[in-house]
Amino acid sequence: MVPQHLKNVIHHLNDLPTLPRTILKITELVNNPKTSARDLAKVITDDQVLTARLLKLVNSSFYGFPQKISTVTAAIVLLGFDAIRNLLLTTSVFDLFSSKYKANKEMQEKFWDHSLGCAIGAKVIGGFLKSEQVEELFVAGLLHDIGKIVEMMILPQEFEQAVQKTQEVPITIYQAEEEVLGFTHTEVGRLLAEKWNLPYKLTKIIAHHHDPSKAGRFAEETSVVHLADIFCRALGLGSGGDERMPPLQPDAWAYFHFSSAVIDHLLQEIDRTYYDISSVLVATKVEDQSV
Amino acid sequence: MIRIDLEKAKPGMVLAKPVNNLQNMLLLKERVVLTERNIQMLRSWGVGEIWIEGGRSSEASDLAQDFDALQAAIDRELQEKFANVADDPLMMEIMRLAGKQIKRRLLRREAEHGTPAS
Repeated sequence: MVPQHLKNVIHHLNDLPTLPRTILKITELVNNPKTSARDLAKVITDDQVLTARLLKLVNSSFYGFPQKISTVTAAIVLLGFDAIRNLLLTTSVFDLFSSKYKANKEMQEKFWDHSLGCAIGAKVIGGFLKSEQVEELFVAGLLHDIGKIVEMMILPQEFEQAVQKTQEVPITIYQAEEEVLGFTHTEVGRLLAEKWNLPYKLTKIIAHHHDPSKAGRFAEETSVVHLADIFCRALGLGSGGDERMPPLQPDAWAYFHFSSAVIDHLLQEIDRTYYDISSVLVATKVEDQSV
Repeated sequence: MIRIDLEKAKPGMVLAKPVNNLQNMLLLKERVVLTERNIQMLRSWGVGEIWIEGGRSSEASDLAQDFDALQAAIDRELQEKFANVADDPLMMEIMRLAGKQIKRRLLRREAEHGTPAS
């Protein structure tokens, strides 16, 4: 039986913001093999905010290009279609919620910090494993907890209760959600991902990041996000709502078996990148608001 | 040189001015290196403040003390956070390494900005 609260969530999903039209158009273009860099540049440059943001990000220390990149076409050629799409998706999702819902602002910001930390973590771990899909892992990390944002909007009191529970007893937010709501952010996240028509792989990662073995053929990618979540919580990058650690699943660890020296290296890399890029994102946001 | 409360005096500090008691009797000459023993002696004479050399180094030692306290706070917070997974040796190792990185971050920030940010 579907719990009453979950019915409530499904009912309200239609009221949630949708992705900006430009982002949908960009996703469509990126998926089309006939698209040229010029086609993509045209859609992006039609949107001034996106253009400014893209140039700011590609010129940040996060990418570390030696020369200043001054045109959108150059950025597309240098980074590739997927990276551009993900970059723009990142910044759009980033302020999609924060601008509309003023309540719980502080907590939301901490969530986004956590999401950004996890995104960077997934990208760093993927890079270490020589994965070809580091940009995809970045987006997966960014969106893995999107269900929590939805819960916070639709069921603010119940969610607050769950958060409080984690402060009283040593349980994770995941366990507290089960007790208070009867379902968790992974199920809610999956519902939103389906509504947004996100790629199937992304939906699976969001749905199973606490138990990657259930993600079928995407178990490895899901394990990367699972570990990134643990790493950035350990480093205290933002907050996932609880100050607890989700247990590391042995099935997930089986993909890595990193030595202490490797863990140390990855933590350093994640921490440093996080502090570099979050300052750029904050600066971009402030400028947008002042326009 | 700076003036400090005797309470803050530590072995190894060097007196920048002689220390007299209330009757103006000389207790220690300038340039004397403080030891646990002579600090105790000054205390028993009821000395309130002393002048020591190298104000900056004593500030630095205060900072170092603050930093120790900060490190202890980081460790405590991590232990609390990891309480529910304390029986997993791998998670304990991740905790140790994360603590190491958080301390590195603080040191780096202090070097860049002069203040350890939380």
